[in-house]
Amino acid sequence: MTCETKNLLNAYVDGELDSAGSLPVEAHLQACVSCQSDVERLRALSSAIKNNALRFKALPRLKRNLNSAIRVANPDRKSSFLRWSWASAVASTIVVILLG
Amino acid sequence: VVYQGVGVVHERERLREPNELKGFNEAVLPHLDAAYNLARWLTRNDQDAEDVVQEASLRAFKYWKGFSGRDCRPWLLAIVRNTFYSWLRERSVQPELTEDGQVDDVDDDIPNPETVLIQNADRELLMAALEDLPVEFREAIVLREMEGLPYKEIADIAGVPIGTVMSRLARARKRLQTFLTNAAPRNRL
Repeated sequence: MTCETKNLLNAYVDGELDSAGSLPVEAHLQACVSCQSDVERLRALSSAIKNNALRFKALPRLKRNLNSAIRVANPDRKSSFLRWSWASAVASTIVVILLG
Repeated sequence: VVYQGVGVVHERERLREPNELKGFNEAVLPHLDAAYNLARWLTRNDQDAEDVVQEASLRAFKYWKGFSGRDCRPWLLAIVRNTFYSWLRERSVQPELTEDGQVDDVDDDIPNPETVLIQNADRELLMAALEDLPVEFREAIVLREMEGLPYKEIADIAGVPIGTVMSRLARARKRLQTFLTNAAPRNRL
């Protein structure tokens, strides 16, 4: 059995229809056993996917690798400046001591 | 581990604001699981998924300054998706694409008790059913069922009209239902 409402059932189950769109679907579902079954199966499938922990999580190493890669791509100019300042100060002190 | 292009980015990014990385991390890293989940389902492999996410994140950082949207999750997922297709092209792999808008030849009137089989499908069977889907159907299901994105955002991410998203979801779900009802042991009814 086919009816035009079948094309809207996915959007209905996904909450993508506004009230003007969903009211006729709900009215149709009261009378159409075939579409009622379709809605049941769509909801069963959605529940099965959500209840079975199918969503993968990123491992901590990915985050670490990512941070390293981005740090390489974005060197911290402030730290770099401070390191050079320290190096300059130490070098100046050595020069003063040697000359003195 | 993908580090391709890092040296080039290094030179280009040298003059960026020092706190830019902090802002990027705060906005993007909370969505790393979503990025990895999409990449993992697209590549169907842990290491490949990590490579795709790392490359996508570098691309995202590169364009971070120009990003002006409020929610960076769909933006990041679109970059992950595009990175995945670039990754496929680099390997000369042709994804199994379907013709959008075509109706699958699947029995419309699956007996109602099959709902129980679908509802009780175990994780292994569901994984097999999802991995069996063509890639553009798989990405639609992942973005809708796992990430809970509205059709409009899925359409933006995939770069297709909303009608195509609706068609892909409907066809993907029909294939999943058929796979699950055909594969499930009958004694579970």
